[in-house]
Amino acid sequence: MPTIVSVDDSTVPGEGSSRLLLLVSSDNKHIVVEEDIMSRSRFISKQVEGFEATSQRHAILLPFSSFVLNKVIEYCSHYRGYYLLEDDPDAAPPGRSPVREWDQEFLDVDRNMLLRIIKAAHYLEIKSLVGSCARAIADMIRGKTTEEMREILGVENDFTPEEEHSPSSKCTG
Amino acid sequence: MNTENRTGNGRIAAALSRALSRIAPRISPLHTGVQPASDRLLSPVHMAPGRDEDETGRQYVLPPERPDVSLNELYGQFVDISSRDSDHSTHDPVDEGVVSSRQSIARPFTIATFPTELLVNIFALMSRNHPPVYPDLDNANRIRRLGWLVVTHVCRHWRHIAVGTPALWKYVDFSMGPVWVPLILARAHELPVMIRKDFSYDHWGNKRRFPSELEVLKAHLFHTRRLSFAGDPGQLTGALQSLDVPAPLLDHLHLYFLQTSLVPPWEFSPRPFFASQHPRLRSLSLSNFGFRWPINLPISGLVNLYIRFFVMGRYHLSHDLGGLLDLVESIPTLQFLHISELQVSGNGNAGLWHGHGVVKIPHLNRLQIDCGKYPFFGLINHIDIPPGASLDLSVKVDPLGPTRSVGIDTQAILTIVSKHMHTVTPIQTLFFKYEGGSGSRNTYWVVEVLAWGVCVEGDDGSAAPDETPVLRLAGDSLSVSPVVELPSQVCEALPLTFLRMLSVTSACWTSAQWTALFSRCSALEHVYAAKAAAVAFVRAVSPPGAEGLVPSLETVAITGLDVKARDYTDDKGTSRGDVLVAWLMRRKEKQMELRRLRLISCVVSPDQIAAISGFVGTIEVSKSRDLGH
Repeated sequence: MPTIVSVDDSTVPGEGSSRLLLLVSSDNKHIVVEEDIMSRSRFISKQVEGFEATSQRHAILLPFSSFVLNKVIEYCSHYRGYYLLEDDPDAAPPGRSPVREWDQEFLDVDRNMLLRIIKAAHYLEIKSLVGSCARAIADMIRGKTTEEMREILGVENDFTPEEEHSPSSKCTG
Repeated sequence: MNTENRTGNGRIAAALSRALSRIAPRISPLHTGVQPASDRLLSPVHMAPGRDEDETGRQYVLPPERPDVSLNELYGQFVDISSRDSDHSTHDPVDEGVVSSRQSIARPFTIATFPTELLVNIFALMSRNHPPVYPDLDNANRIRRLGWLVVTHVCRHWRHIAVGTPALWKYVDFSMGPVWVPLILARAHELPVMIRKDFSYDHWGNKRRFPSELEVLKAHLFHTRRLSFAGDPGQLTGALQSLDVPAPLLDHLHLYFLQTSLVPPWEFSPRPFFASQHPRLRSLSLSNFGFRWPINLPISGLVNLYIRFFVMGRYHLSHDLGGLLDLVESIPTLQFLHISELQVSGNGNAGLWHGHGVVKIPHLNRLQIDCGKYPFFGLINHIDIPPGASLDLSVKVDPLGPTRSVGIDTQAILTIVSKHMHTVTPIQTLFFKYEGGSGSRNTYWVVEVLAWGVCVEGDDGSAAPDETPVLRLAGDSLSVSPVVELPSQVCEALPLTFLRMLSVTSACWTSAQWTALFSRCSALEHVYAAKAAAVAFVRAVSPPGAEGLVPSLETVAITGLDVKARDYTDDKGTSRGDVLVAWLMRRKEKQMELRRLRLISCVVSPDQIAAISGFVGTIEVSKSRDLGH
């Protein structure tokens, strides 16, 4: 869970209608972002709702780096104000959403970055981004052999030789 | 300012505030979601992939909209936690949380550390998009035939998650053979499953040590939600008769007739099965079937009925339309009706069918018909479409009909559409699509009109809303004239007062059609035009005064246009870029500045981009090139 530190002044300078949030990444970068942008994150929304009663300003510590956080904010900025089906808990089940061209370009990153983004999106509860990342990972390993999957995603083969070569293992999983 | 944090540690807070004020000026990426047009134009939007975590993130600039934001002032309002890591003497739980979360980041990052639900999400996508195919076959492609099941062989963790998640095992295809099918059904536990079985091939073979397929099916019918059978009518009839146990969860039954023998397609008698206990059966799909009317299926509670009639090449079975109308009339609960490839005996285009009256389906929500002209009009003239129902009408070239064109009856379709579309949600999004190609006999054209009650401007400027259109009207023709005429006629027939998004990808769309449409759609906000339609769009906006046609226009997306080319229908031979600049300038002068212009896969020069950007809020150029001519 993130650590939240509060102060008592709720006045925010600036003339925009959206309030500002201070997000602090694990590498200690401080990122100021409009609340509207991050409203796609159910986690952030719940945090902000919880704080409203105290009329205090808040900094939210997040357990991922600024580089990942910037990517997530870029995603949220792009879809600011858009209704996305996957973010609606009452809408279609996950995975049934259309593949968006922008998302494909946005997620055209290397494996490590993709894994970090999906983990951050899961932490922040951004269902649409989780779905897009999951689809990208599924596409990445589709049609691959077990050895290729292990290599692509950096997974260690911890089966015993007997399990690995056992016909029942191969057939019955 | 009271900087007492919730731990009561004011000393630390004061020290942190001081530390933060020192570092604030050099760490201030302010995200507002708004970028200046020049920034978007000159710099790539995305960060370079594959950079390490330690690298600095993208630098953002303060937008002009909020010039008075002082980051120092802003940061002064927050209690800094940045230097907490260096002060562990307090052993504050908050500090420990920070340190713990940061240590977790330092650990090697692999997919093995993923939360279970993320892996399940990925596996679920794979199970849907990469199903196994005959995995018991022993050949060189065995691993690929396992499909998504390969994930159970990657590592223990993956296998544990996959095997322990019953929802991943809900798709059961009997082609997977006697080893996998019982295993999958066992892993699904008693969750509702979707079963497919092709009776034309014995996947069990001579493996007699296993229970028979029908025995396995019967044992699991109690938690089957969807059942899809394929086979010849005799096989299907036999299978359904043997499944004489209740299926309390079954809500969808799909029967597909395969032409594997000389059994006539109408020898299908499903009554014993339908007489069983299927209280939740709501959807019935019959593909490739023929019927001997009357058939009185006891399916009065059905909501969704799809019948695709038997067709093999140019050979159709002719049916008496009256029998079909009687069947439809016997299902008063019907909400979705889809009739495909119907071929009727007699002349369906003339009046009422052998005295059969108009059928009322009071709860019909969606009517979908795709067949040749005569059966099409035979059906549409005999169904009373309730107000508000969405229509999906496709008139195909009739291989047996005397006229190979929809042109003759266009007016009849438009009369129906015109009357009905006033009862539905106001149309806000309208697409015109054209396709052309070469068939086995001749060149054909297809025109498609799609209308939605919601306004969506997609990623590429043209994407359709992710929902069923209130109107889909399609027709193919061996002559081009109906294709050219139909869009204009549809525009005249449809109520377009509330239209907000218009997309045209047509080789036949003219500048006059753009102008005529603009004059009817004063609420239009988004326009997408591709290729020849984009050329026509530029011509339509070139005359002085055209800028006032659509005052509420906000975004224009253009694909595949040579912006540098000169249009010689204009005596001056001005380039299309100049025309666009002049149009945008006139709009800006009249306080109707376009918010965004997108040029996708266009030929455009940097000078033209610069000129255009002066008169539009944002210009986005992607996949475009400058050929230098």
